[in-house]
Parts: sequence; structure tokens; C-alpha cells
Amino acid sequence: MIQTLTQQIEALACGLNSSSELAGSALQQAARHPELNAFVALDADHVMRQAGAADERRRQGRAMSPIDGVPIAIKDNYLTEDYPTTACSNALPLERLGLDATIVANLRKAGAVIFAKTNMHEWAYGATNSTSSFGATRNPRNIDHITGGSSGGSGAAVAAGIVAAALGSDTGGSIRIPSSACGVYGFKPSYGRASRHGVLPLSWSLDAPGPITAALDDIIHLMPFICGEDRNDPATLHSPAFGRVGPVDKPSLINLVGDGLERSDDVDRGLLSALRRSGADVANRDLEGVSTCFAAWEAILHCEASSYHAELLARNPSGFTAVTRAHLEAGTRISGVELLKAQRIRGQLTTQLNGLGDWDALVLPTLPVVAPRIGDGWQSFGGRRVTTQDSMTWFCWLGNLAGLPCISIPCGSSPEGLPIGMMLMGRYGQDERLLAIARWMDRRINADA
Amino acid sequence: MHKMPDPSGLSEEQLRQVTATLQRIREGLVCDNRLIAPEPSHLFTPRIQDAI
Repeated sequence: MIQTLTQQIEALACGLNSSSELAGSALQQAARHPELNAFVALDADHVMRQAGAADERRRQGRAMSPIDGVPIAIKDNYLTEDYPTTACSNALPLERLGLDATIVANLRKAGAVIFAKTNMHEWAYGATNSTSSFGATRNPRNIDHITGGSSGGSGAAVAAGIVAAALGSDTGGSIRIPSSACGVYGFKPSYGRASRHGVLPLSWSLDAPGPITAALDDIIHLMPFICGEDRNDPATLHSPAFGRVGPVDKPSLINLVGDGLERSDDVDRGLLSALRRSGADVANRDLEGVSTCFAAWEAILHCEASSYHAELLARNPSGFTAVTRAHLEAGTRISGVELLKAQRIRGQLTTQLNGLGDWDALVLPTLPVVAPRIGDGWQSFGGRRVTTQDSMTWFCWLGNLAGLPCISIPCGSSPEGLPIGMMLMGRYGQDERLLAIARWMDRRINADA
Repeated sequence: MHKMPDPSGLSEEQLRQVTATLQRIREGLVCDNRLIAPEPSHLFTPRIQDAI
């Protein structure tokens, strides 16, 4: 079976496989794994019709792009004209709005087979994927463990080899968290490089759509269809089209440490071992004021989410789960002064990161722990005891608060065989350079994988 | 005297969660001298990041 998007593209180009074969294989694999609960809408006939049309285009020499005919799964907060969009919430009626999010439209125009909608944490307002109107997802690496979220269905679908690529969205790590927990690759572009149009918001100044894939090169193949200016999303105005990911020299990395950046011994060992294997230049630096910056992220998140959901919550409070209602209520109780403080702190974070010196990428584990067991409400690591929810976003929110491009790549596993992820954060707008650095690292860390 | 019900309609447990979240945010949101520098002239926009 073909595992990566890059391999699928090559197989289609040389005629080794048809789109119908790829789609049929994906449907079979999905049917083998109902226990993962990865999908919330999947129409096999519709998938095969799309694949058949892609095969016909190739037969006529009219393939629309290299990804024409490749099955791609879509998180359930992206509008799709052919599938309903619910954000896995009972508050939103199951409706087809007849619209595609800009990124979905780009993929469809390129000939991709829109395979299914994937399970997610309700409204993307949580990082465990345990709260969903369709039920929790399970981790393909060990089904007794969570996938992480909120793009957990996308992470599970890729890690189980059902599809080679899926879309996610990331407000505090929701692409990177399930990528790390499930042992695959996830990329959050710089804020404003990828259109949010048609992606149901959680927190519009933190949200970033992006891909989860089976291999790093898969991300590079997909980004031209994900990045770029969209007149329907003002944040993307003047966003350049995705450029070339060229070769890079040995990168200089800063390994961020300090109060609030603790991690478990297993994760720390895995990260440091991978950094040694990579041969990159690595310096440790303390990042100060982590709890202050985290409070700023949390204040902005809850305020923006409360604002977005205010009317729907008033109309249909019972459509939201209790935990989501509590988050939304917290947002309504944050004052304007507190929100402005949060924005000031946010503005200064970039200055602080810049002041860390000359760096090509900042590095952290993606998660401080490996994927927690389903039902475990608390995690202990590095002298801390925090909720499982907080452990999932422990490092990732930094990239959203600063708007930086971030990637999670697999970098080993714990003694019990659960994946460990390495997170690399690049400079704002330099998404292509970050991917080049990540590729340099990945080839050295995962050469034998 | 009876306690007035919370207008949000949330349960005691949910209200405890709200209180804990707000306490964490308020304790964390400290704009002390470490963070004093030219303030952004408007709310966050991505172009602020161009300074990096």
C-alpha cells in the first residue's frame, strides 16, 4: 500500500496506480478501522465518483495538478459543498451550506478527491478530541490513548494509513498536537499565509489552517494549494504564493527551556537524542514570562470565542457541552482592560523572541508527555501536575500567540512505544525556510524510519 | 437567605471551572517593566511580526 502523498503523486503520474485504486484502498482501510472514529461524514459512492472523474482527466491528458486524484480528508470545521459541516457540535444543525472553504475549493480545483470530514474536538475548543458530538477519537498507535486534538480525526486518519493527507486547524496546537500524539507530520503556517475563509473560527487572531501528512515532503506538495492571498480573508492580503523550499546549511537552533516549559523525562530524552542525531547547532535559552504570555493567549482565545458564539449560545445553550459553555462564560467575564493587556503582552512576545539571538528555528517538544490514556484527567511531569487539556497545549500556544510558522515532526518514541514529536518554530512569514530546515532535520533524524 | 442563581445557568462545577480560568488569567496578565516597550498602535495584526 502506498503510504505518503509524495508516493501517491508519483504513482499517479507514471500510471502505476489510478485514483480509483487509491480511493478504493483508502475506503477499505477506513472500513478496517471503525474503532478510531476518525470520520464523521464519508460517502463511498461520492468518493469513487470523484476518483473516476480524476482518472478520466488523466486518460485525456487533462490532469489539473500533480495532486489530481489524491484522496484528502477535511476537518469538520471547514465548509464543504458536498458534506455537512458541524464542527462536531450539537449546537450547529447538520446542513450543507453549498460552499467550500477557500482551501477546500483550491484542492477541489486541483483535482483532489475530497474524501471525508474528520472528527474533531467540539468547535476546536479543546485539545484532547474527547469532546465531540460524534464521540471521542482513538489513537491508531494504541487505541487506549487519545489522539489529541482538536484535529484528532485528521491525525488518526493519516496515522492509520487511510489517507496520506488531511486538513486541520490550529489555534493553540490543534494541528501539531494530534500529529505528535499519532506520530505523523503537522504544519501550522504563519498567521495570514493561509486563508481562514470558510473555516469556522475558534479565535480569529490565533487560528491557522494547515495540513497533517504522512511525510514531510507531503506538506511541501500541498502548501501551494493552501497558502496565498485570498480576498475573502483580509489577514492574507499581500500574502505571497508559496515559494520554493530550497536546500539549507546546518541550522542554528535554540532549545527553549525555563519555568513553564517543563516536560517529562521520556520526552526530554527523545528530543535531545534526536537533536544529537541531527547534528544541528543547538543552544539552550531560558524563555522568561511564560505564564504571563500563556495568560495573554488564554484571554484572547476565550474573548474571541465568546464573541463569535454569543448569539448561538443565547439561542441554543444546550447545544454546547458543559465544558465549552464554561469556556465561553469565562470569555464574557474578561474585561476590556484585561484583553488590551493581553494584546500588549502579545506584541512584546515577538521582541522577546527576537532578543534570543541569531536563530534559524526555535525548538521544543510538541507535547510534554506522550499521548495520555483515554480517561486520564491529569498529567504529571517535571514537577508539575496539570490537566490533560493543559498538557496538550503546553508548548504549542506560543506559536499562535506570536503568529509564527510551526511544524511537528516525529522524533522517536517512548519506552511503551508511543510517538514523541519535535516542534520547530520559524520566523514570521518564512514558512518555506522553516520547512527547509525541518526537511534537513527530518532526513537526519528519521533516515531509518 | 437563598443564594441567587447565577444568570449564566451554569452548574456549581462549571462555575468553579470559570473561576479557576479567570483567576489563572488575572494572575498571569501582569504588564510589569519586563514587558514595557513601545506599545503597538493597534490590536494585533500579523504585520507586527515583520519586525522579527
